Amino acid sequence: MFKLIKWELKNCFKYLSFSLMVFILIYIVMCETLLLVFSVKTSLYQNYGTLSTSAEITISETKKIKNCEYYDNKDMIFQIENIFLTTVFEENEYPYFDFENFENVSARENAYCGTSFYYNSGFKKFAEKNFQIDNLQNNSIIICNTFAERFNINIGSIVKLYTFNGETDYIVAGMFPVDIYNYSFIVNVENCNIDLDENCYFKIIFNNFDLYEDVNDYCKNTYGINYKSNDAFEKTYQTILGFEWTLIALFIVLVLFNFKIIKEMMDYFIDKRKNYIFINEALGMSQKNLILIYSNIFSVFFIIPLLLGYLLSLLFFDSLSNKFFSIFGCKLLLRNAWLPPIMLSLILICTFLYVFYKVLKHSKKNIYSVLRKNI
Amino acid sequence: MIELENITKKFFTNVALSGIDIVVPERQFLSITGESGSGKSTLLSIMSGLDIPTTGKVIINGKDLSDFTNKERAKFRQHEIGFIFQQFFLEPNYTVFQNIALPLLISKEKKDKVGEKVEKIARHVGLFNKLCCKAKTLSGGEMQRCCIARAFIQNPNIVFADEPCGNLDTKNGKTIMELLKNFHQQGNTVILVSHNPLEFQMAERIVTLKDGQIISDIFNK
Repeated sequence: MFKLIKWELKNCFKYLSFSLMVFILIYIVMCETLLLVFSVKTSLYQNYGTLSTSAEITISETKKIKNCEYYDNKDMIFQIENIFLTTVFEENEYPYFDFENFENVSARENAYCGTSFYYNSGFKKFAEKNFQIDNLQNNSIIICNTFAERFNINIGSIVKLYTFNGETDYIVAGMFPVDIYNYSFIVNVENCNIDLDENCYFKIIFNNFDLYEDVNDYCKNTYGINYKSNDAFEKTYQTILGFEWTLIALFIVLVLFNFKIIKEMMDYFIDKRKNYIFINEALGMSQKNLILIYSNIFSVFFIIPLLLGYLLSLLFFDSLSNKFFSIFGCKLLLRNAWLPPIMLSLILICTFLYVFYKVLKHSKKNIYSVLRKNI
Repeated sequence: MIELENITKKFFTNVALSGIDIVVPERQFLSITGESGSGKSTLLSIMSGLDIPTTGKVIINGKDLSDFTNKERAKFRQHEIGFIFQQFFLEPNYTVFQNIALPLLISKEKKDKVGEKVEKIARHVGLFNKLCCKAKTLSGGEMQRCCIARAFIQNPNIVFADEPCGNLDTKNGKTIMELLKNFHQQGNTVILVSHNPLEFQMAERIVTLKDGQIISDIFNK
């Protein structure tokens, strides 16, 4: 059977037109590019949080705040709805940090530094389970960009804090890797910054990709969020957008290529090879062996180059994307980027298997049509 | 031995064969003849197990073909039957060696025996010097000789030849018929479909079909 496969493969290469071979080659290169772009994009997405989006909430209608029933003491609770956070961190990946002189941190100047942070019960359970923290407080402190940079704190880091009254507390930097749908935070109104128009504004930090247009307080008052531009953030955001367009364009071209290749392969297997199928059937070849020959041809043409290319792209991917991220000073979370390309390649392979099934189905019909015609 | 019992074959409303009863003993050279559309090719495809009759039974060497699964049918064709077609059905990009060796590879013959058998039969049909040539470079007569070699390489009990000289000139046709006769004399059953009197009259027995029915069955002296 090996010999038959070898012969038929050679034959297949001779029959198929040069343009089709070039087409298939381009197709495979495109598939790999697609996977690579997808991988880089996913990784960028995963690393986006480390860039931190700095934003401001401007509350110009101070009266409104005061009229809010939930306004209690000097704290105001804001809520962002429908947040879905996907960043996943593992134990041991993020070390503990001790900060003894928190009050001396210059970043304290930013309003959000030292602002109370409210954990919901979902996160508390998650943190207790995953980080073995028993005494996680219900509220803690949001840390700011400069503070995080200074102490090299990554999103998700558990930070042990010595608070002003001498107690210790744990916080997790940034937003949390759990499915928190209604995310709340408390802002101390007295700590707000006053702008030139005497509006009170707070800086908040968003460490995940999504950009929120506004926040609500508990009285359903809506406050807009003004995002401050940041070079790294802008570049990454633009790159992600660029990648998205590239992905869309690649997908469209791939679909068109698919049509062409499927048509040529169908022509080859159904029309040009009908005599081969017929004579093999007449000489006593079982359908199983015919499938074996065809599946090998399909493997050689599509699946093997695709998988090989995929492995190669993964090898190159590491150095390529590290280089890319070094420009923005990001840390690469490669592991997170593996899954989508694997799924994508599985989808591609399934597509080819479907084509293969179609060809076989047609081949069987063809055997009978040749019979009718020629015998 | 091939036994056909009350064979009928219908293609939608068209009746291709009707009430065919025929017994072909071992080592017989039988030719089926008749006008175009008389059903001779359909009869051959049913006799060889390539097609299934609408009604009736095909019994070859005591085995009813209708009881066979597709796999068994394929296996049966592999070992018991050889085919020669008017259109050759050679693989143009395969060499003569590869074309002749095809049935051996399908039946998973041992590697060392393949070469030996192919060379032997190629000598017999006069294609030994052309073994490395591609099938597409052969002449019509050579192509048909290659087909004959492919059909007989497994030494099948029965060989079905469907208009084997239909695409050949008289001289090449005669050579092919001589080869068929030669193989028959070595103990093979040969069933030939032809409408050319020069060809079918070389057979021991001539069955004539008309409108899907046997109108004569004579033994040729």
